[in-house]
Amino acid sequence: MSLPHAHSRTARPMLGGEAHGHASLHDDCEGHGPIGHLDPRTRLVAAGLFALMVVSRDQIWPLVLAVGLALAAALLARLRVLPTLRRMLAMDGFMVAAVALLPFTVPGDPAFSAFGLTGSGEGLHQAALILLKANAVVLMLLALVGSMNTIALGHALARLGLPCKLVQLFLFTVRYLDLLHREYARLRTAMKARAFTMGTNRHTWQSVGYLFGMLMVRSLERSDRILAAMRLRGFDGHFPCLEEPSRFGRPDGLFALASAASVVLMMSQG
Amino acid sequence: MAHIPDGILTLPVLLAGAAIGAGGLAIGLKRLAPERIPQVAVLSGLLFVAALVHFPVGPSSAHLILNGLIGISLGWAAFPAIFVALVLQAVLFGFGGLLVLGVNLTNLAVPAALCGLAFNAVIKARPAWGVAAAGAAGAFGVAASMLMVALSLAASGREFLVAAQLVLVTHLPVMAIEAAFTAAAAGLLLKVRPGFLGRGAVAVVVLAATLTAAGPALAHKLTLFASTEGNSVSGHAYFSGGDRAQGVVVTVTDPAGAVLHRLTTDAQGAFSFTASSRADHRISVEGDDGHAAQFTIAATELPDTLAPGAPAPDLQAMIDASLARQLRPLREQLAATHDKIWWHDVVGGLGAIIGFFGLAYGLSARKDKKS
Repeated sequence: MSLPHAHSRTARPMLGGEAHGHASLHDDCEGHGPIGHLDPRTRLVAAGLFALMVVSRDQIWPLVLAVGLALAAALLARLRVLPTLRRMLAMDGFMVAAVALLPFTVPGDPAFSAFGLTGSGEGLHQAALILLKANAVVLMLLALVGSMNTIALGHALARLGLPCKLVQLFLFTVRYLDLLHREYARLRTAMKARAFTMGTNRHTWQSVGYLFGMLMVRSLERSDRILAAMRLRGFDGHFPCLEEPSRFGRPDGLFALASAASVVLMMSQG
Repeated sequence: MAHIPDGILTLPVLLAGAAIGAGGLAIGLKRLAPERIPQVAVLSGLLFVAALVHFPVGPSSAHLILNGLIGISLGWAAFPAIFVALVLQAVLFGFGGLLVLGVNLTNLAVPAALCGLAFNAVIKARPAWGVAAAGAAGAFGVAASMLMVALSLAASGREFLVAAQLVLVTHLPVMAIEAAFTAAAAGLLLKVRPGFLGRGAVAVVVLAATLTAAGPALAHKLTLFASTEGNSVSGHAYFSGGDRAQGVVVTVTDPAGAVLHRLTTDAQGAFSFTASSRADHRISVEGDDGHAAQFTIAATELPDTLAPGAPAPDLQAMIDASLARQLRPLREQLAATHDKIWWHDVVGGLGAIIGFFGLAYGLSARKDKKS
């Protein structure tokens, strides 16, 4: 209760952090494009099956086809081009070490040489496979699940059989993510105002440690208040759901048919 | 590299990761009282925010992993907290993938839970050591996570060994950052919210040892294979995975232990020598990194005409030779199936980790009931 003004502050529109891309967390993404008309469960299951399918393929052509399918899904979901590209590049950056080394570590016929090392054709092939797989799965995930309202995702996960507590945790996290990030941005602004700049030194690490320690203290106080509010409203371990449960409809049937067809296509290519 | 994308790991690794992750998730959820959900949720959100903070490291930058801090503040609940953060990162940012969620969860949350257990033990015994223990937890969380990332890469194929080592080396600075960071954050928490850190679960520090012991699993097995053709014996040495062992010393001894031949393998890992007596030949190789393998050519495999000096009759020698030629691929294939044991080792090792977890869970549940 030491922060009586915290609520009014955090209720202000977001100031910093748009650059990080989750300012639009609660954007209503549904209803955009044909993918938006599907039941969230259909989208989740389809993304899972697609990933399983892609990961178990080991030839170039089915995987190229998979990337094509993911692209088509991204178009149907009306994903914005630049943010999507940025996310995929970020992911590729993550695995650059693992993939770039492959041509030099997989034994096989020498295909090229760089920096005095010879790269093998087999290695190049494997690197290409991994890149195709990773990008196909991520693009499909962003298209089918990332375009979904996160709250709808939580409800879909619950109806697909995920434990109730886990889904509640998920929904709470989604709810407080923005608040936390704003709180973080505000503390960083305060530090900046005191001429703090990041460097490679202990002072930086310690200061950011204090920043997160403070953030944790405030978050814990906030969670105490949330709990008090929940208790007041008679929380018994369950939340009533306001939204009408979604149903499998004709679009879902059509989508399932199309997915099945593309799976068969991918299988036949292998 | 804390988030491995889809497509790199093989199915057995994915399954093992999913199994461990699901187990930890089940334990974490079972121990999570409904009234703690808001608390865990805000910390899970914090984990997500922390991944957006980039520290400059010289010309490059590194982002926080924070599993040490989450571990010491949440204990087993670190599993659901990290799971939620990973799902959100995958869905919103495309970090990581879908099927690798289990592996990524295991790699981050197992060290976190261990940090929690160890930290609680320390703070109960020596409250004054809290800050230092938190720093150690921060470093251990990163180190163990990266070790597990490296292990999951290496278990997916020997060609990822270099990348796995690279992951470990590049995260050394992150360990230092995270240690200082976690110590500072925990120090503040201990002062401002005394009693939040270090309550609850019982410590099973032994578990930490299982993780550090998992390191040698990265090492590869040296295997030796030899066959006879007439009175000449030839064979080769290779590492599990198929790479030939070049330039390793091969020693041939008789049953009494006297050295008959001492050879070195060629570029193909092959060696050959001529047997001069019909006795068991013990062949052993020793690699430079302490790996060793043995193979015995039984006396019965050598032609019975092989008394010193006696020339072999032509027909017999030809039959032996052709038989040996035809048997050789079969025997090589047999020897190659031994490589598959590598898989069993990995899965077995992961099984052992699950087992230790079960043990830890059982013990702590019993203590909880008593108190």
